[in-house]
Amino acid sequence: MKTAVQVMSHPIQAMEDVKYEGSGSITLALGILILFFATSIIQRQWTGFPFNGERPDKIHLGIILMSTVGLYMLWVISNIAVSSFMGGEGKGEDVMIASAYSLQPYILLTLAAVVLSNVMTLETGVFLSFVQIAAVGWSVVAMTVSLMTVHQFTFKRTLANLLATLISMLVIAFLGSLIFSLFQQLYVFCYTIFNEIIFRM
Amino acid sequence: MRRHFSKTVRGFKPAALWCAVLLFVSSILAPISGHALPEENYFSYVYNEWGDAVSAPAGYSPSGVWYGEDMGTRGLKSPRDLFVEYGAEELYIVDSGNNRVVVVDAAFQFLREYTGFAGQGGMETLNNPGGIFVTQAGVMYICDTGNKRVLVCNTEGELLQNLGLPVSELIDENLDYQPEKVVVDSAGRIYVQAVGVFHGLICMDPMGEFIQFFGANRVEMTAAMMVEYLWKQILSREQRSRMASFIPIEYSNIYVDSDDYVYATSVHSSSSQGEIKKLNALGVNVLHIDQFTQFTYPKDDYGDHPVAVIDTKQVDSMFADVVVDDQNLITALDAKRGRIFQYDSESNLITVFGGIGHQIGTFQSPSAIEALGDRIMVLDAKKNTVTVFEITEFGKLLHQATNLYNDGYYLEAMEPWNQVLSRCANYNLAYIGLGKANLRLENYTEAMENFRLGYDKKGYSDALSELFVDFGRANLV
Repeated sequence: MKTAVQVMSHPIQAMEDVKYEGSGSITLALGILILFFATSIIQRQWTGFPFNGERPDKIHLGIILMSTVGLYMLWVISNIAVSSFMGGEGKGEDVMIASAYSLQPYILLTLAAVVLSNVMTLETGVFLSFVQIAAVGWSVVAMTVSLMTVHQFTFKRTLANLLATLISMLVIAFLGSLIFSLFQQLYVFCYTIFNEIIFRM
Repeated sequence: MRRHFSKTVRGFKPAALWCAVLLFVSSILAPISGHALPEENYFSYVYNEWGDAVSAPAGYSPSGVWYGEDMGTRGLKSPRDLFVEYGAEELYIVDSGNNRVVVVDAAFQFLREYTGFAGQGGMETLNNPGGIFVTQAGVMYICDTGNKRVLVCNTEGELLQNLGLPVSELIDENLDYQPEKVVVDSAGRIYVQAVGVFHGLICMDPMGEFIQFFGANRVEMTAAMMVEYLWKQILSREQRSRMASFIPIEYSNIYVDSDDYVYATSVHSSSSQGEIKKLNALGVNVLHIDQFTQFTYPKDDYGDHPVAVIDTKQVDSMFADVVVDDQNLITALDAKRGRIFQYDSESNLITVFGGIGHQIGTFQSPSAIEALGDRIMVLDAKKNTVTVFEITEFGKLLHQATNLYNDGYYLEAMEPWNQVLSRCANYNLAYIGLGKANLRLENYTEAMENFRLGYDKKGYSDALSELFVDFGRANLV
């Protein structure tokens, strides 16, 4: 728990603890992930009216799940794959923990922004977007530094690693959709044959 | 609360259910209470902030359909224009297929007809006339489309002027001049809308001398056009000249109001915006488009939303005619779906009625629209009829409320707005109107709730800051 909080302020120290002393917890990482998912829902539904452009009646949990938990999993898998290729030292478990812990600043600041948005007027809305930028920025910095520590990369190599991770995420998503559409066609094909047989019996 | 249920949580199915229940109950009660429930053969709706059509009571109800025979004359044949002379309450019908102009009174009783006019060179007959305008002094301007001229005559049937294609270096002499619609403002300037003239309306002085092209549409930027434009940068002059050039869209109809503003409709617009324009004396569109709400569609997107694309063809409302009454309510006729859209002077949708069909209140090929008092008349070129719509109780409430609201009488408009909402919970404008009244009454929390339901973020925000000011005064100072 202490390590998790430490990631926000001292990511190098925290990640060294996780890496060498095993103070990280997969359970806690999962908890943060669930919180990340919940934050997305809260942000969508409870952001104050002047700043909320979403339709509250058109919420789709599947899409939110894919864009939070799904994205996290895609990120972790890509990073593990790319890092082992680039000679990173991190274990899969460490990458999972580092990525999840680094989401904390985003979750906290986003929740703060949601609360603030309910008591803010449009004129003061600039402050809110500042908070949101800070939320993303802080998490990105924490993520970069923790992954750098986990894999024991130099800074330059970390940047290359992150870029390669993003590209491999795109490739995975592309292949995924390809396989999906292929299987869908296969399904339609089988379904048609099934129908033909049924109608002729 | 009811609106919260019907709009925010579960779409408008519960609302439809309620309507069905209400309809059922009222159909039982109707014979007892003595007045029949008006029934329309079309679906009435308004648009919510998301651009979804939500059901609403009809603002107008058809009260009669008039064939030529009913008026005491021959049957009409592909009539193309209607004109109401307010002073005498006479209705002019341009019976294009029969090459005549029929005049009837407000009760649709035949008064007279014009097939030709006595000029100096003998009788000038009409050939497929397209439009008519009658001044208060009783001078008729008739677009004699087939003969490529505009005839100016008096009501006795004497020809005063014969205006052909005006002579100007700006106008191509070989132009196939087909004047379709004409209006004349109080200064006597003549505005002619002609087929294929995309430079704007042809504006002439009372003597028929060309003044200028008036209020041309602009070329709209589309993705396909950007690509063409890039190509044109590369290609040589000869190659360029063989490519299609970009021309702005033409107007489909014009109307002039008592303040000399010229309203013009366009049939097609690739961005689906600005199909209705209100042109001032300089030809600039002054139709008020206040972007204070953050709806998902632009406020100058008149007609139906969203624009459907079927087989790469854009299916959008096609406005054929427009009429503006003395309260500045704009009523426009969509020839594509036979619907009539009524807007207030701030481009807020008030009501939609009509449709394509065979029943009363629907059309086959609507060609013109006119208003006489609270009645709206629509000409159908295929059914050869004039359909009369009477305003409903609900429509009257809407008019009363929007007029008070647009004139700034927010408090006085509260009562009609509340009545509107008690009949239909889908009116955003009603909530905004109530919100503004409550803001003036310093009921800030209620105003916030009203603005939230009306999807007015600016209003909500203003009410909230007023609330803070109050809080600060009470607790801090």
